[in-house]
Order: sequence, then C-alpha cells, then structure tokens
Amino acid sequence: MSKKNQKRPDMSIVMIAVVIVVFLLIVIAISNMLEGSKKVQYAGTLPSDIQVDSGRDLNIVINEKNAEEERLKSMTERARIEYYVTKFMKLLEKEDYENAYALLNDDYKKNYFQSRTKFEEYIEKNFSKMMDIDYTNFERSGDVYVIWMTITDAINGGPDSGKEINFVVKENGYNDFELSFSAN
Amino acid sequence: MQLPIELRLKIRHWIKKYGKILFFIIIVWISIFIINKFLGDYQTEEVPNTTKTPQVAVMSANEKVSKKVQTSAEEFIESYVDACNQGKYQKAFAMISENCRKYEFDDDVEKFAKYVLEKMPTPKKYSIQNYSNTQGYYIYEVKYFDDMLATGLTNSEYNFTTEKMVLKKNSKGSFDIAVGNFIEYKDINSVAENDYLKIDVKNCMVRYSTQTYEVKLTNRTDYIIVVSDNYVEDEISLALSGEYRGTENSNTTVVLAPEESITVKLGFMKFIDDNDEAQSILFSNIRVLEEYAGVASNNDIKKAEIEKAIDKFSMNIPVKK
Repeated sequence: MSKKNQKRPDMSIVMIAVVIVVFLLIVIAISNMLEGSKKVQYAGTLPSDIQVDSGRDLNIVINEKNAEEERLKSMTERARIEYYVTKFMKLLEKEDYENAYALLNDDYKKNYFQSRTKFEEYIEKNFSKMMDIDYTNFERSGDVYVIWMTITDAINGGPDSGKEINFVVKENGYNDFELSFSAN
Repeated sequence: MQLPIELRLKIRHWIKKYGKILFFIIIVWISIFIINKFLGDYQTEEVPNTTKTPQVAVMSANEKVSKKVQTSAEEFIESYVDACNQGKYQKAFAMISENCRKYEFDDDVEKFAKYVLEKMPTPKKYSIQNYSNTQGYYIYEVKYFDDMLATGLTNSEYNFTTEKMVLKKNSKGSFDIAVGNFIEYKDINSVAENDYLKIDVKNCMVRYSTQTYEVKLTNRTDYIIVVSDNYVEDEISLALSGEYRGTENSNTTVVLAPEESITVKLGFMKFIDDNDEAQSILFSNIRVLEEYAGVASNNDIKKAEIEKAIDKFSMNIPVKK
C-alpha cells in the first residue's frame, strides 16, 4: 500500500482534542492556584493549643496560626525568642495553665513541676495577674537561648519591686518551642 | 457537524507549521506542572533563621569550612564529650592526637583527667563554633555548659567554660584532633653564646594564644649573671615582625649563679591566627656581676651593682624555623 493511500487521522479532531486538553490543564492550574491561596495547610492533626470545642471556626484558628507564623518569620532571632516568652507569660496572666504547662521542657517538668497542680500553685504564689516585663539580656548557648528579664506587678508593684528571672528557650521551629524558667 | 472546509484547511496548515512547537510546549508545561506538584507535596519544614553558623569562622565571616571538616569536628566532639561525661577518660584520651597526648599531657591520663574535670566538673552540654583557620589548622571553639533547659537556671548562674579544639589533616587523609588549646610542638634548637653565657632555645609549645619556649641557660663564668630581675621592663621579649612582646608573667626572674645551668620556660602571648611570625627571643639587659643583693633589692642597690658590672650585653636568639 502506498504512503499516499494511508488513511490519515482527521486533523480537526486532533486539534479540538489538543485545545480541550490545554484548556482543561489551564482550568486545573487556575483552580489549584485559587484553592491554594484560600486553603490553609492542614497537617491532619490538631495543634495542641487549639480548643476544638471552643466553637471557633477551625479555619479561622488555623489561619491565625499561619499569620502568627508568618509574623515570626519576619522577626529577628531575639525578637522571636522574646515573643515566645511573652506568649508564655500571657498564658499565665490568663490562667491558662494547661497550655502554659505544655510549653515547659519535659526534663524541667520532671525536675521541678511533676504535676500541673504543682506548677499552678507555684505560679499563683509567685506571679501576679498583670505583669510588666522588661527584657534585660539575651544570650545563645548552642541550641538554647537564655533571657534575663525583670517582671513587675503592673497593679501593686512599686518601681523597684521587680523580680529578676531567667528563661531558657529552645526553638524547634517557627512557633514550636519549649522553655524553662528559674523557679527560685 | 463539520467545520467549514476553508477553516479546516487553515487549521491543518497551522498545525503542520506549528504542531511540533505546540507539542513541545505542552510537554514542557505538563512536566513543570507535575514537578511543581511533586515538590509541593514534599515540602520540608522551614528552619528558623538564626545567628548560629558553626561552620563559618568567627575571625573571618567569609570563610566557611568544608562539610568534611565540619562533620569530623562534630563527630569527634560528640564522642569526646560523651566519654568525658561518663568519666571514661582513657577512652577520651585515646581520641586525641599523639602529639597532644605527649606534649600537652605528658602521656599521663591522670593529668588529662584533671584538665577535663576543670572544664567539665559535672556532665555538660556543648556547642562548637569554627573560630579561625590558618596554616592548615582548623580551630574550633568548644563551649561547655550545664543542661540549662532542664534547670531553667534555677538556683544557678549562667556560666560556661571554653577551650579550643584543633583539627589538622594527617597523612591518612583523616584529622588529628587536639584539645586544651594545643596547636603544635616545635623543636627549635637555636643557640647563641659568648664568653659569659650560652643560651639554648630548645623547643616551643604552640597553643592557640601563647607560645612557650623551653630555654637552657648556662653561666660560663665565676660571676653572677642576671638575665632578668625586673629592673627594667621587658628584659626578655619575643620579637615579632613589627613589635617586641614581653613575657606573659611580667615577674619572670632569671639569675644564674657562677657556672650554673638552668632550664626555664618562657611564655609569650601570641595568637596563632594573628598573621605574624615569631622571629627571635631578645634578652636585652644581661648583666655579669661581681656582687648581687638579690631580686628583691631596691633599684638604687641594683643601679650601683650595674655600675660596677663586669659586663652588660644583650643576646638575640632566632626562633624562626
């Protein structure tokens, strides 16, 4: 059979098929892009500090977390570590001892606060409900950061009534940290 | 339904002309799409940006050690600190270089253990930082500290000890590693002599920030020879290319009785990475005396003794190899 006599495929069908494929790919790509900008990355397990039963929309909570992480990424190393300590102190002010306790280093907990009750008792006795924090020094030793700070009772504390305290922080990732403090 | 013949011909013509290019573009585009999707799924977690750069030299921010050097340093220090923390000093001692064992610790594991206990009296955590790299030496600063995260510095102060750890490539292609700031031991064997005195600079112990010379002095006379008694400043100094540097111990006294021979160790501040080289040791105020009231006598007496001196001279002994 000569080449000329071979039946050639209908080019219009091929063309239409190609156009449809390209169109579909473009649609998929645009839809992925739009979805990606709206959808938050959700790893499948809930972050420990999100209250599922709080009635808050999960997407809003996760978006807040992502926004916090983005903010942390733009901060300097020192600002981030101070942010973590401030976050911990705010949990104490709010009496959210469960989440505050969860941020403590495991060995530290074994050494000083084997139960949450002990931790709560210590905090109730040694920390006020509103605190002024003054960060005075900052050092890095290997993977951990040491922070020196003075905390003052914002309501009842006199000008020189500040208590000096050390925090030791280890940052495992953005917004993923563990800490300990001088429980003298 | 069929497209008009004219349009079909036009499209066919267009595809004939640009079909291959179009096909190529589609393949590339699909490949990019797939790769992008694949990479997106395998995104690694972002590591926080910190000032921690253990492989970048403190003394020169542009200098970064190779992965091989960094890995060797990290592997060594991990095993070394682990052994020291467990009190396995013999094991830790065997890890360090032969020269370091011999010259820094006199091949004495007890001397080594004593040194380790000064740095790590209790089990410690550590961090390492490349400090500087010079003359084939990779110098790291090792910092030892308590497990602060486990204590929160409760009832304790923030403190740490440091030492320099030095890597040097050996003939086997691996690294000899020294601790205790030890860099090297050098035989010098440089001699200067005259009718009164013979000075023999035997060797030098080079540590990160010091050079310590072992010097033998022999009095060839029946007189007293005062080499250094702090009558004037820097009676013994190390000559560098652009300056003279006095001894570490500013109260160094070297006085030889008639025909006496003594060996002293003279230490000078000299950083290995200061891009300078020791040239010689200068003894600038040697006096040959008939009478000497002693190192503690006052300057008036010393002045009177010098006026009656048999001879006064200086000696310069090269130490540059």
